[in-house]
Amino acid sequence: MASVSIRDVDKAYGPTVVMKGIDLEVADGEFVVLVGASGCGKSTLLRMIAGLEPITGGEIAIGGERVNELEPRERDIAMVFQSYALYPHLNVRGNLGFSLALRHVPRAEIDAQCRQTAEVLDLGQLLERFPRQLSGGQRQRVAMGRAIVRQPRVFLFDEPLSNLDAKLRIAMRTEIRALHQRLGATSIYVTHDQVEAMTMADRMVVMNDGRIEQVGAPLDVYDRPATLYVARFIGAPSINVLEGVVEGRAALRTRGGQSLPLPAGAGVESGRELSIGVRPEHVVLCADGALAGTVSVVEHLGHETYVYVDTADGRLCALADRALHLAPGAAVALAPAPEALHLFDCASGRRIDAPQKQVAA
Amino acid sequence: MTPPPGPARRRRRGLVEALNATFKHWSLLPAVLLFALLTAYPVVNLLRMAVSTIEFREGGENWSFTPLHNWSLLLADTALAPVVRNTLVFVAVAVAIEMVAGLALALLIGGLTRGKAVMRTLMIIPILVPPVAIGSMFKLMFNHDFGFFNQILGWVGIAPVSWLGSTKLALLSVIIVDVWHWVPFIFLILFAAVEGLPKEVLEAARVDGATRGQLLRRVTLPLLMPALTVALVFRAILAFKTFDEVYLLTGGGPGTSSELLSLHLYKVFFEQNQLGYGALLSVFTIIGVLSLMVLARWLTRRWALR
Repeated sequence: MASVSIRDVDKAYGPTVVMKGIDLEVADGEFVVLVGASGCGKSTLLRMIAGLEPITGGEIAIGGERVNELEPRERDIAMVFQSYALYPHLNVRGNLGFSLALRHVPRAEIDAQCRQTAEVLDLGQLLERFPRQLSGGQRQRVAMGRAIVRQPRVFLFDEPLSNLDAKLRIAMRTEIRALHQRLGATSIYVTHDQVEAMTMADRMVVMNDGRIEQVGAPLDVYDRPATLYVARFIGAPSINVLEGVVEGRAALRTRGGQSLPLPAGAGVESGRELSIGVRPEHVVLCADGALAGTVSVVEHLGHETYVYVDTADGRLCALADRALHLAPGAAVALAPAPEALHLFDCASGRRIDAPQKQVAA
Repeated sequence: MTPPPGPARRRRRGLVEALNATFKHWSLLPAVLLFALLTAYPVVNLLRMAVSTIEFREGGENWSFTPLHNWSLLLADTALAPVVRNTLVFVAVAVAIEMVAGLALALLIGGLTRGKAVMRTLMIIPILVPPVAIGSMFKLMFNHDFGFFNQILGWVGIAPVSWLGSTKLALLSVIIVDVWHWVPFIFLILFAAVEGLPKEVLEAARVDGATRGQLLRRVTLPLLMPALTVALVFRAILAFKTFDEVYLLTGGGPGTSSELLSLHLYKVFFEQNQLGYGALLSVFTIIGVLSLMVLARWLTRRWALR
């Protein structure tokens, strides 16, 4: 068990700077998820923590000890790869016990450890099989087992569930969380799937273009996205975004020419250009809302129904009552709840907070 | 109305079905015949030669069935023992050096971050040089008075050595040339394999705690085993039949000190005109190469399973 500190870390490939001034503290025993679109640098950051990728500047410390100069094997970490990276020439027992055999642990002890790990992960029947004889889910378990068998200080996961089918992915998600609760080991988990990030993280780190956009507990990030990028990235269906200019004290004139009431005391001066984000669950379908439009698509997901409405400001999404029978082409109006609006500066994309506390319901 | 099928009709239908079911096998027949004619016939002919004495008389071949005569020639051939010994030493030493050097170069160049393509191209030049050119080139380099090797020795204060003229050094000199000629071959096969190694598996091993040595021994080499086997078997077979280098450099001499099996065969066939005995020796060479292959396969499989 150990904390991980990333202080002012830079990464460049030759003259190309891909990461600049990354700061992140991961507490002992915490489960932190790095999430972002592909190419945002989350895997690179993980590989730098592992020591597989050298860092150009700054410092990485594990358990308070600077590890910049240490080889991966000296960092006492375990990593689960997206491709699982099992040793194809070793059977499951050999894969699980590999790291122990490298440390010249006595054979009997290796066997005992392997058996125990296999039991935890339900691999007992497969110990003699080779990776090529296993299904994707079983390989994934072996990769997990290989990581936990040696009780490292930090677990690193690089999109470990991406190659599984949807059902198995959801099952493994829960299992990894349960495993973490049992072992309590510091874990850093990389994924591009925001649902995975939301469901698994103690804290999530949203990355974009080699920068950290926001760090926080999943619900905090969802409720108070720090930037327009985070607002768009987290949540499905995606947040609705409207652009416009502040008119008077409490209204926004949208690009489409509609007028949208802003929350009381938003504290934005007239004439300022804003991007407004509002989540589908905060948009009410009604007869006389601020935004008029026609229904284009209705999606029934069973437990909820999403209605997509074409307005003068583009297509907006609202969470609707399933009892509401709407046909495409029907004229409706949308009323975004003013207190649930997220205000962002149009140019920088940064959140604009009201002078007093603003609550997003 | 069709009449109910009679016994004759049923039998015919059975025949048609059998033909249909086995048609794909029958359709191979022409290819099998051609193969037999092109490949099997020469081998069978060689076997026939091995038990015959062939003489050229009155403008034609004269074959006589004399199996014992060829065997007695074999037993009386005093050059054979040193030739076999030379060949085994040559194959073992040359191939071992080539495998180790080829592997080392493949790993080294595979680990480069830039200039890989250039290095690979440079590396394969020796295979492109015609063997005759290699022979004359190295004959000059091995020259006692002005050759490259003796000049190097001269610089470090060692007296010139008779590379090709001494019974102790002649075989070694041939091995040096063979290594120069064939390391690139091993390198090419293993380089492709090194480039194809799964990167994440190697990374996983580094994270798991493998030192450089452990990584090589416990992951890289086992993963390269198929390519190593192919390289070893191919190279050993080719080395067993080496002819041009010896013929051009030493002619097998001095004495029989660097004479290899292929050169000996050449002498038996074309200098002594012992066609029957030569064929018998050829058959033994084939058996030798085959058992080498089986042995190599067995050894590598054992090693891979460990």
